[in-house]
Amino acid sequence: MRRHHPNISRIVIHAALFALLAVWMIPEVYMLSIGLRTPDQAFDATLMAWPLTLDNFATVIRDNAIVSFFLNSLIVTLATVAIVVACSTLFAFACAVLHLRWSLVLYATLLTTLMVPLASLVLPLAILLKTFGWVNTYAGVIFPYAALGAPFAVVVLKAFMEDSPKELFEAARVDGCNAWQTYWHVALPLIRPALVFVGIWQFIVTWNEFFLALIILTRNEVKTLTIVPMQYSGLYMANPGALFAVLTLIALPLILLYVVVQRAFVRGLLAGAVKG
Amino acid sequence: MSKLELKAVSKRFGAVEIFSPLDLTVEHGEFCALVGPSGCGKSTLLRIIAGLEPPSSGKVLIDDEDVTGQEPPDRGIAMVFQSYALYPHMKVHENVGFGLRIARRSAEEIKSKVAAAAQKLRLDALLDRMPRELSGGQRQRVAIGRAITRDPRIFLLDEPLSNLDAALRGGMRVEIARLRQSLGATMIYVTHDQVEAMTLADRIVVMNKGRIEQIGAPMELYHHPANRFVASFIGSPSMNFFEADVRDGNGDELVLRLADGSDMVVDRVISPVTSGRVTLGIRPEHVELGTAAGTGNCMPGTVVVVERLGCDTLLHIDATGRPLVMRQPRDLAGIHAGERVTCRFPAEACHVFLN
Repeated sequence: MRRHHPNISRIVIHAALFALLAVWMIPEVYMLSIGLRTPDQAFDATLMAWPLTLDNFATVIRDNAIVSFFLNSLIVTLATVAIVVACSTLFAFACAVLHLRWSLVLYATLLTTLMVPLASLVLPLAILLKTFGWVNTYAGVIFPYAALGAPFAVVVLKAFMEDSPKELFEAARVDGCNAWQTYWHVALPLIRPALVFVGIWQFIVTWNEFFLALIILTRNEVKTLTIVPMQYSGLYMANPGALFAVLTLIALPLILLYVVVQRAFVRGLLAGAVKG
Repeated sequence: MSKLELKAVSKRFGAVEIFSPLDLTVEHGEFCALVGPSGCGKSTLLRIIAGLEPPSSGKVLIDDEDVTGQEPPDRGIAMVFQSYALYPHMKVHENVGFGLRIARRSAEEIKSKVAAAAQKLRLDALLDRMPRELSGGQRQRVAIGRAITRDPRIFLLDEPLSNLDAALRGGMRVEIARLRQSLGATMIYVTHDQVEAMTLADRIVVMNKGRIEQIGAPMELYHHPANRFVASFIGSPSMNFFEADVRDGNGDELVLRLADGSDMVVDRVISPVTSGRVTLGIRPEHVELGTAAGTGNCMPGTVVVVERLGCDTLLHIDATGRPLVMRQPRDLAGIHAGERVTCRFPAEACHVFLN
């Protein structure tokens, strides 16, 4: 009988996890469900309504240059991720490995920006970007996103670099590496799990960003996907089917990305938590 | 082969002095071991030689060239770290050839030098493995391989065997001795294990609390320790010590009175002390065993523990309240714990140290 206990406990654990997952998934399922409803069923208080229709998706794709918005989102997101990863790794390296003078003061200053809400920055940012002539340009959102994302990335990457064995960086020095070569050949490969984590995290945050994009990107040629849902939710008009259809389309790339890289993401989250 | 000179080199971390100004010369092709207890400053000294740590004062010269301000690669040194410091994301051959790759050597040269190092260290079959797939001894060999491919002027080894188990350590010790013979390079070896220092080094530098206590050949330190610290550090088991007063220091022999009132006669040639409170020392292997009550230079005692090591036997003796260890090159099957014995101290084997 004792041998069966692990199986029973596993079944119980999995059942509990599935129950939790089901509760957790309700918003996602509801989002997809409303996107697949006719206008008459839109406000029905059921999780699923039949028959299913793809009309809302067709409407959204017909009414908007979805491909163009998707590409804009992709360009903005990838550029932001690239800048955040590049700048944060270099800064973390300067703090944790090179111990550059004043780097810790800069680090502490950078940390304070984590405590400033985006809403309080929008007005000065908008004025600044207008002065630069960056309104309705990719740069107008990429650089603010990168600046806002970098502090968190630096915190994560610096901790990883500090956890890396100091002797490896010293061995690189003895092997003839200059600072750049040590960064490129030793530090970056060592913190790969953290890089994956930071990259994915920044991707999600940037892809989903709405507030700044709404203010800075007003021309259709540069708009990102997250602005599209606004068209289907107004004060006197609403098209919930189309609204949720477009929300589903926005969420889809993130869900696919997470499925592909979830192992690396979880490894990045956990690395350093347990000594190997 | 190169010569290393340290001139009045000191190191401070803030208010903490790691070591006061010290001088040291390591000759061409010499194997010099820096030994001492943890925290004595030996690893810091090695890091200063490597260029990983700047000295607070003084100069580091390699072949009469002042390299104090130079980066490690410009000094022509290679270092083997205690933790191996193998790059975990590189295969063995990439680890071994990394220094050459950074120096922008041709692919053919890197390949041939890696192959030569691998052959020398028996790493041929491991070249395509990752460091995590290697045992401790294999990792250590890779770390040494990485050092030798760069043809350094001086090899620095920082406790390279301390992470290995006892059996592997013995094997690697022979490996390093063999390597040293084949390379003929100048080597500086940091260890806290006096056995490694004694078996490998041409010369040993004994350090304690940031000072050099004595520099000399292994057997010179063993036979003529300059002070009690060196005497206790070199030799295993450690030397036995007894507090004593000089009773007669004017003749050819020195007469010491121990705390229990017994007298010991010591050869003055190796003990140039004439008066005062002193410490009498004798190595466990020099104490002679007698079962009957002796007359001169004898100390009665009771056997507390018998350690039979195979070729040797260690007797831990309670010598009227003071611990005494004796090493006998025999089985001593007839001796057991609780037995009364007499320990004889040959006059020519006794050391006397000023308190």
